[in-house]
Amino acid sequence: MSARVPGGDDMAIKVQGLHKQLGGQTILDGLDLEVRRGELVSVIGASGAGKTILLDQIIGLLRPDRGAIQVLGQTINELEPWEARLLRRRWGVLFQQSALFSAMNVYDNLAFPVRELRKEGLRVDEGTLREGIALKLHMVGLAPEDAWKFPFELSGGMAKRAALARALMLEAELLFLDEPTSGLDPAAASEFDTLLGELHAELGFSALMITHDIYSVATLSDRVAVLADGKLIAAGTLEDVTRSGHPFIASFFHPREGEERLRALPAYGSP
Amino acid sequence: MADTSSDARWQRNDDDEILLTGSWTLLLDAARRRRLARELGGLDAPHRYRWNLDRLDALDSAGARVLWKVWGQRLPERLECHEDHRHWFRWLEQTRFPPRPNRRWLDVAFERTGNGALGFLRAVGGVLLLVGQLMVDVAACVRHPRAIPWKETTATIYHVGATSMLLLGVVGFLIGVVMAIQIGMALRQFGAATLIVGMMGLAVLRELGPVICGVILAGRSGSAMTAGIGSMHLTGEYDALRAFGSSPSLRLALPRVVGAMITLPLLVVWTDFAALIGGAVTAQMDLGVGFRLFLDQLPQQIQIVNFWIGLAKGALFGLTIALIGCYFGMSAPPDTAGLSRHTTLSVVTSLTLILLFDASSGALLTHVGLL
Repeated sequence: MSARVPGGDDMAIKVQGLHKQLGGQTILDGLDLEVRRGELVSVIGASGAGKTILLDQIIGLLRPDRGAIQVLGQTINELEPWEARLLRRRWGVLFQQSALFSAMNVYDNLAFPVRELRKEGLRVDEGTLREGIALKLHMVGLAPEDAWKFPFELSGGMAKRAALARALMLEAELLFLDEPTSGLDPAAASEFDTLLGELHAELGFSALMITHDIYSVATLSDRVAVLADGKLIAAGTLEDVTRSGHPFIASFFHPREGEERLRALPAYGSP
Repeated sequence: MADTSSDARWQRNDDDEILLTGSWTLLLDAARRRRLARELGGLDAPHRYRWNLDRLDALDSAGARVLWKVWGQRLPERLECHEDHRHWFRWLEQTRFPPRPNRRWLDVAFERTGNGALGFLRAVGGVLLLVGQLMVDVAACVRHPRAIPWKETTATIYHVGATSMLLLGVVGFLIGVVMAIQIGMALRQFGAATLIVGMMGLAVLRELGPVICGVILAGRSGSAMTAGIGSMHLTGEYDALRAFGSSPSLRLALPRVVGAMITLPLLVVWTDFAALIGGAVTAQMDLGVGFRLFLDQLPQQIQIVNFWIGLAKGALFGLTIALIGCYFGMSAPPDTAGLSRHTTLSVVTSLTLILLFDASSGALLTHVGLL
């Protein structure tokens, strides 16, 4: 939505010269990253390359050692607590493990970010809240009855959908997706990618996605950023990035073992 | 984000068109949302108009819902609207509300009472089952000594015992001091100060030592057992253990129960010692009963059997704490609220049982004349 707000900064995320050491090990060593408004950028990289550390710093869960991070035009780590709260309200995070509050049902999980606003004096009445939850449940493809289920009663795919709905409750302008398809079976992963793609097209939010899933990368990304050796070794469209020929990129997009056998299957390609 | 420079506005043109302008992001702006809903709701026959949404800067779900309600849950025949904004109405058209579980208070009251009663019975049954399972495990360990979980048992002894010593030493000493002061005041009036040795000794060895140990360990270790085992449900470790074919009761409960039954009596000795030292120090300073005299008198005024009763109680309390702690941990539901509820239940149940056992053993042993 924000993409349509006039006069806004055209960068959703701008990271410059980010350094981070953890446990005496240099994780990030001068990383630069940009996400334009309305764009979905995938960050790929080997396990342990620091993708999640990067995400944690952008959303302010972890302080960088050096470097500047601007999100939605504001510099993280220079904000007053109330400014940070205002900013956090404008983004949503979909965690890898869904991170639904296990003691609350789906309804209360979705209501949570809105009810938190009441503590800041922003009253959203129960009727509006209920309508909002119904709408968001529908948007992510959950049935209204699912609202009364508890997280442990949901399948992995449903939990992801519920978590996505929660991330979207405050009409996020910017979405952080941490391994959105991890732990889902190929069919569920594909459905979730489709859903994310549709919502991205219709709501126009910006998004930063961390993923290992080449199909997610291919389905969703406007641009791809490749993280290795603490830096971005390539950034651009999927086609540009794969042309660069870095060994990690080559191995990441290399067809996996068994691909040939799969292609020969009669079921391959049928829905 | 609502842009203050482009306030959400509407106007009626030529009695035919309704033109919406500005940024209709109303989710966080309840006052404006209500005002617009009231104003637009005042229109009679809203479908008569041509709705022009072309010049909207932004529309969020709350803004769309305001319009959707004004329109009576269906699109107006004449609507000009950005494709980007139209999806809200498509979604709203298909949205169904989560049906509210509609229940009367009487049903809820019955359900609560029933659940409470059943929960109590289930807990009693569950603890008995666990006892039975532990006996089977012990038998298995006797037959296959290699299956004995040494490592877990020694870990329990360390966590329950060694790390509690400072706390129990301090608490025991202080209670000894306080008791000696209070008893001493009464005894001084009768000029029978040396009797403090017998009174202190009996109270500490038979009652206070084991009960202090039990109460503190129920809070300290019983809760840790429940939380430790219970959180394994959250992380899936409990299932992982079972998937490897390892018995949770053998690997989790048995070492804790055995470890606690070994450790608690030892801690009782330690607490007895600390409390008696506290009493002896106070007796010397406050009553003039010498340290040497105190120690000499102790075995003469107190039968050694009281010490053994204290140790037996310690073992019983250890069994209770570990058994209850493990049961509530193993039966904890895999959510955070359930885990905290079970941890509370574990501590409360252990404490109640400890005091209950202590009172009944005291009554039994004294009145039946066994000792």
